Amino acid sequence: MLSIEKLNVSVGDKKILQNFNLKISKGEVHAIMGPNGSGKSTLSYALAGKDGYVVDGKILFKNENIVDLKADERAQRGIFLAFQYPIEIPGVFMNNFLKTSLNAVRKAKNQKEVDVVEFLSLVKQHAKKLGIKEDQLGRALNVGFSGGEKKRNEVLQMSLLEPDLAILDETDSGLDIDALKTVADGVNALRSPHRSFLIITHYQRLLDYIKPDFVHVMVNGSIVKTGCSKLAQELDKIGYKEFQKAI
Amino acid sequence: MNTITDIREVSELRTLNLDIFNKHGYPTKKDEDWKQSALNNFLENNKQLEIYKTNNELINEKVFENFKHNKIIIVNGLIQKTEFEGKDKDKITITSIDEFYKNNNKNLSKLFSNKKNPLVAANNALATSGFFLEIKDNLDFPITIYHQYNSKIDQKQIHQKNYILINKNSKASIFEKFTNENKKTFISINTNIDVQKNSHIKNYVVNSNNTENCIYRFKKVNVETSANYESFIFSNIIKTIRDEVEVNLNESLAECYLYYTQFLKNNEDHEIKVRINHLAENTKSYQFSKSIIDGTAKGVYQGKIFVDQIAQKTNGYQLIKSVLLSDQCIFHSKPELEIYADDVKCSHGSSSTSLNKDELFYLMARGIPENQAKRLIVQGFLSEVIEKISDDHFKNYFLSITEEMLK
Repeated sequence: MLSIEKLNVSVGDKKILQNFNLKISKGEVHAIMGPNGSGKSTLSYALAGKDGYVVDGKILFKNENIVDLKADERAQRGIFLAFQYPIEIPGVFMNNFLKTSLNAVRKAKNQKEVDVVEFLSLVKQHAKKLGIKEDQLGRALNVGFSGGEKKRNEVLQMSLLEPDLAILDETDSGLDIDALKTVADGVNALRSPHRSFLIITHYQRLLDYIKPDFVHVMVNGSIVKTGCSKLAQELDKIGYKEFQKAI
Repeated sequence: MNTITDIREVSELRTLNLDIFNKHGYPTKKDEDWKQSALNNFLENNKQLEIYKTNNELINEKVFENFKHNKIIIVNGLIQKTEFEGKDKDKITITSIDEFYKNNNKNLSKLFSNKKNPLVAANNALATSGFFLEIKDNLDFPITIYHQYNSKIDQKQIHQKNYILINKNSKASIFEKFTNENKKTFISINTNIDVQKNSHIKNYVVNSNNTENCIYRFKKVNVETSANYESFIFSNIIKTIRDEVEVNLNESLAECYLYYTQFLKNNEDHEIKVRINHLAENTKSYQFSKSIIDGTAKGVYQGKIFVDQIAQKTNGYQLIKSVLLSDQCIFHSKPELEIYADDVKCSHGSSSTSLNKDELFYLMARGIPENQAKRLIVQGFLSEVIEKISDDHFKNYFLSITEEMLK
């Protein structure tokens, strides 16, 4: 599904990812954990195609090098980034945004675009599962949403767009226990043998709900250790200091 | 056609204003209020434009809106046709401004004030056309004033003077639609609006599809107790326009709401000048303007809130935002507060930025192509103002023409 090879990412003169390598196969759930400033969010932005990064190396997604593709083209090919801080856009209403996004992705996949009636029925079904109230769908995108509402909204978009690879950038931050469980349930409902996940987090607690197949420790822009889900529990006890010392 | 020269008071006022104009001449960049005005260049280059005197004119029937409304069709400044719906017939009076002068030949001086403004003085002196509109009760349907201009006024100047009177306890929406088939014309429209006690007037204007002419529109609005004046001006595809309004909140609980959106491209110029005078206790004013500027276009917003020393408990608000899409475009913002009372709440904010890259990335990360994402952001940015419009019909109308404009 995803193969990152010798990826270097920098902003200006500052190198953030160095010789970064990662392979994710179909249906696998990978977690990346690491201290602040280790480059986790940069990785997620570089994968999603944010402007402003100098990228060298290969990002092979479904056997295509996507390094030169723009963010919309990557999303249309099936990459979804759930933002750590979802952006508020005044005046852009949820329903209009969701329908435009869904139809842009469907069009790129040569699927029939949905009309208003089909869209409303679809979005209401997905929203209900995530405990999102209907009036939220009539509000401006993320404007005035609580932290929990914003994160649930990210999962709603993910479930509508049905990506092949979902990157969750600190989706657990700012969530209370109940919201965390709702979001995790939403993500688990999307798990399938055809869909892969890359979960970026500081803490083990999200991984109690979404069991990863692999856990990677990222320090100073590179993966320094890979293990199974038990590694997350170990990290919870020993922290990241040992890995930082080793470098 | 009636002439106005045989009414002594009008004749004297015109002469007085002509003297003022002759003394000052056209405004120049040396005049503080006209520093950034693109009208200066047009007027400098077109000083000798002949003044057009209206005659019987042909109506362009193609531009009528398809919602139910009362129609007033003004061609080259002259009323040509009116059509009112149902009971609204009895609640509306419309005559030429000349007729109004004849029937009310005393105390006309208030319609000829603003002598410090040279272009208003020119209008006062030279206006040969215009209308008087009186609304006597709550209207069931909005009024649309179709201002039509045709090729008969090419390379001429036309001065139009209007007076709108909203009687007490009345409510009305007045929509002004401009159709320009003329070229290189200077159009000056000076409108006095009196909003009497407990009345509500909503005045919506479209500046669009007019890339050949220079327009100066001046409105002076007097608002009495518990009355309010709401205005929205939508501007897109224009040449040079200055929209100026002076609102006097004369009595307690008088309110005004001024909204503007504009999307300027190429070498378009739109200048907005606002002066709100809080002249009594417990009055409220609210200004909200959003501009998208592209190409080599220029937008200007000069907004002043004046609070008289007796106008305690004033609530004045002004927010001016613009997004600049190119390196060559310009937006000038000049917010001003002049406050002589000590128990007031007045605030103003102004920002000019480029398109927000984080917003663009967020939308593109959801598969929305860059151009479509930009359109959504621009539409959303402008819609925030349009959402404030209190007449639902016109709110939807302007949301829809904004969407259409961005296609």
